[in-house]
Amino acid sequence: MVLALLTVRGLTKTYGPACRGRGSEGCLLDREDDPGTSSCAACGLIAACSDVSFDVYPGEVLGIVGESGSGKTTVMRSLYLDHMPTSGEAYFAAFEAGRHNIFEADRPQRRRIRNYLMGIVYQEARRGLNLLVTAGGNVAERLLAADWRSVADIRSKAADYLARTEVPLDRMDDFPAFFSNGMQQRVQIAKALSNSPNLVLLDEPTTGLDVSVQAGVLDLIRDIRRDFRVAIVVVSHDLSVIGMLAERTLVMRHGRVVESGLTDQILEDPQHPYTQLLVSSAL
Amino acid sequence: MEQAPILRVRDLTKTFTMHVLGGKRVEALNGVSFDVSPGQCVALVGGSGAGKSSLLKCIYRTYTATGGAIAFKTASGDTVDMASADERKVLEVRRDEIRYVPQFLRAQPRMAAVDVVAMPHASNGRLEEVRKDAGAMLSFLGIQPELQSSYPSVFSGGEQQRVNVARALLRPRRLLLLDEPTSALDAGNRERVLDLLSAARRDGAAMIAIIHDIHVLQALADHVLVLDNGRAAEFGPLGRVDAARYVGGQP
Amino acid sequence: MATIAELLERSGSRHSGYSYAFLDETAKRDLRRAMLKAVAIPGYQVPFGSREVPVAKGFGTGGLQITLSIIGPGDVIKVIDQGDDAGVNANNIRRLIERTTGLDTTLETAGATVIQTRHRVPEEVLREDQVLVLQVPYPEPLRLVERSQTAARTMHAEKDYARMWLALYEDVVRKGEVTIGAGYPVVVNHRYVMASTPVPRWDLPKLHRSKALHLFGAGREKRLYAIPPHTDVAPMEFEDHPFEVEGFGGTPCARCGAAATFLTERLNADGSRTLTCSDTAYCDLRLTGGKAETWY
Repeated sequence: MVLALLTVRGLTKTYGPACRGRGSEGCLLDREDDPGTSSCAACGLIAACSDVSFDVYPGEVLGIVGESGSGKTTVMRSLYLDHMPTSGEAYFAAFEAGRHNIFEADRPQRRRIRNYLMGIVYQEARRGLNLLVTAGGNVAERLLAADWRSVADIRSKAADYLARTEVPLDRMDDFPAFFSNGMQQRVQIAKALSNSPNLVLLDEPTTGLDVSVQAGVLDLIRDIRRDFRVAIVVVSHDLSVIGMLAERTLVMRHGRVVESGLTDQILEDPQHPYTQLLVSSAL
Repeated sequence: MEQAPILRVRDLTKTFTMHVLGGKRVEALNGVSFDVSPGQCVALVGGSGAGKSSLLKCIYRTYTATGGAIAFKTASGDTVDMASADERKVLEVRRDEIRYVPQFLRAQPRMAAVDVVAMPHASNGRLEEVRKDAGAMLSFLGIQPELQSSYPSVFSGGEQQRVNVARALLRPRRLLLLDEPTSALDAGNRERVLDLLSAARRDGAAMIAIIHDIHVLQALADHVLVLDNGRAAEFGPLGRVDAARYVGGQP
Repeated sequence: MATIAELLERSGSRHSGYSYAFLDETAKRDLRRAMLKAVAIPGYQVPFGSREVPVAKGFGTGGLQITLSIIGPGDVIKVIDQGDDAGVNANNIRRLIERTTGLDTTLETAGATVIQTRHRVPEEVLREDQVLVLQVPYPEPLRLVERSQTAARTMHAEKDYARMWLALYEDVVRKGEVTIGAGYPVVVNHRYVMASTPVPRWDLPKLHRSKALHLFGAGREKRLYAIPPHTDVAPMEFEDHPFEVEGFGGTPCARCGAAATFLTERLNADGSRTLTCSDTAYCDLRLTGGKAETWY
């Protein structure tokens, strides 16, 4: 019996006060089914994601698919502790042996989780990189946080990761602000992998890239998954990206998980009306 | 002496509900039951739309069965119901025991043929070793070494099919689900693939194969399951079912 | 105990109507409390209620408030500016202290009990019974990498200095060395990163395990901090890019001939330029044949 690396239960992130039953129709948050909206008709509360539960196992790739506004990114940012969810729990085997809810971690613990135990790649490079720090420096930051104090050692380690993600080493001391989008994503991936995290979160890693560049980044993610044996959660609105990378997939809509299953089952035998629409809408 | 079945399918039903089409329901399988034992090959025959592919996909769990049971006996002796087992269990069975070979190669894009064959087995040994075996098997199937490092997306249909078969057979699996494994092959390559499949059978692999060619059926199968409109019309040993009625080709 | 009135009378202050040492007693007590905390947590920036003093902000008001709060009868004061006792600013501050306390002042490092300084630590080794008060313009070392004061304070609290190290790394990578001159960041007592602002690198080794108490005051920023005697002070440095002090290419002082002091360029009457000791008191001491223990 393999234990889950990450167990998420009831993850909810709302904006605004909840009426919780004061309205005649009841609050959005209390509905079990897909309410057809992320905003409560009674109280106006916005539920970016609500009652999201799933497990991630060591070495697997879990996909999260859904249209924009479905709450995918909110789930990712919550897991990376970019913001605190309104409620919910997440137990991460790499943190306190999975005994403590990471959403209750104190600030130094949160920093440790973000710097050592997880890595993230955002859709927008400027969110994940300091564009006015060299490519090597961006990778070095996580090493420096881990008390590396030899410039030569840091450089050789950063060069390793950059080479692994196919960033030309003669660009190592250039600013990512002047890189192409595809190259920026590669630097982000190199940064996410430094310090050998247990879990890497990919938030629309190829969205907005040219098709050929997208293919290169997808190949890289596939190779990294094989070579580093790291667990990955990948968020995308693109079913083909999910189909290529993920073994299991969650389908999100209006902040809720409407369906989950094996990726091939989701693609070939979708059950939920929304998933069927999504699959039948694919090009 | 016949061994205990490795797979027991009971009252398997699959109905698609198409919400996009106003909730239209399509029945693909209706009450299908049959057994397969180690070393047996059951040929699935029947007209197009009879439910052959749906049956394979239900067993592999690409389709979720609507009703019935698909009891698979694992190497460790456990019984896993592929109709209802949790995703993790299904993935484990897929990784170690059941291999599905679709009619057309669905490989990761931009991956060399030799890696397409080797990668699914990389966790069962050292990659270099697996890759060497993959190369040998591709060579046996007539895919020359210079082609092995190319992407299969540029291959002919027949070449892709051989890559597909090689990928399934590189390491032994206890149950193979084959969707027309030789449909795109010329006579010579067909014989090579049949040789490989027969060898796998002799080694104890059970098979369920969609077959449209009487020659292939007679060479490979020992049982026939005739599907008609989602129902099992006939099931029995090769000699007792008149398979020729359902497939083309000359005996 | 002498009362304040007695102190004033004894001092013969010519400015009766002002408190002894200008600041009122409440203000001094407030500053001393902040200093005690600063000494207890070496390198930690303690906020304090910066008072108005008859010196413009930016001209050493933080250092002056510290000095005024800790001096009393028997103290001998030395004030230096850029190493030079004759600087305009040094003269003004010295005169203010004299007039409001009647204390003796001196130009000699060894003769002073409290030395207020801007930009330099004296070349002579300080003793246990001496206090060095430094005027600080920018107390926050993290301002290089973090604009928000609140965020910077959180970083200090969590000892989260990765971005500071990253700034040094970037400097090394892009310029071959850490280019920060004055105000090089140091780690005090293995805990807080502290701005050594604005002393030159040359003076940094003097802070490490010094016998004297060092008090740093930033009047405009309302912060003060301290290095107690015998405290470890280490410049932030990489193993393979060690911290180095400025070099003068072996040039000796053109005035006293000292081979190893921090030099400064002076413009001569004929328009030529020469390098002489920045610490004029030490230079004078050498010229008059005096001897002193130095750091080198």
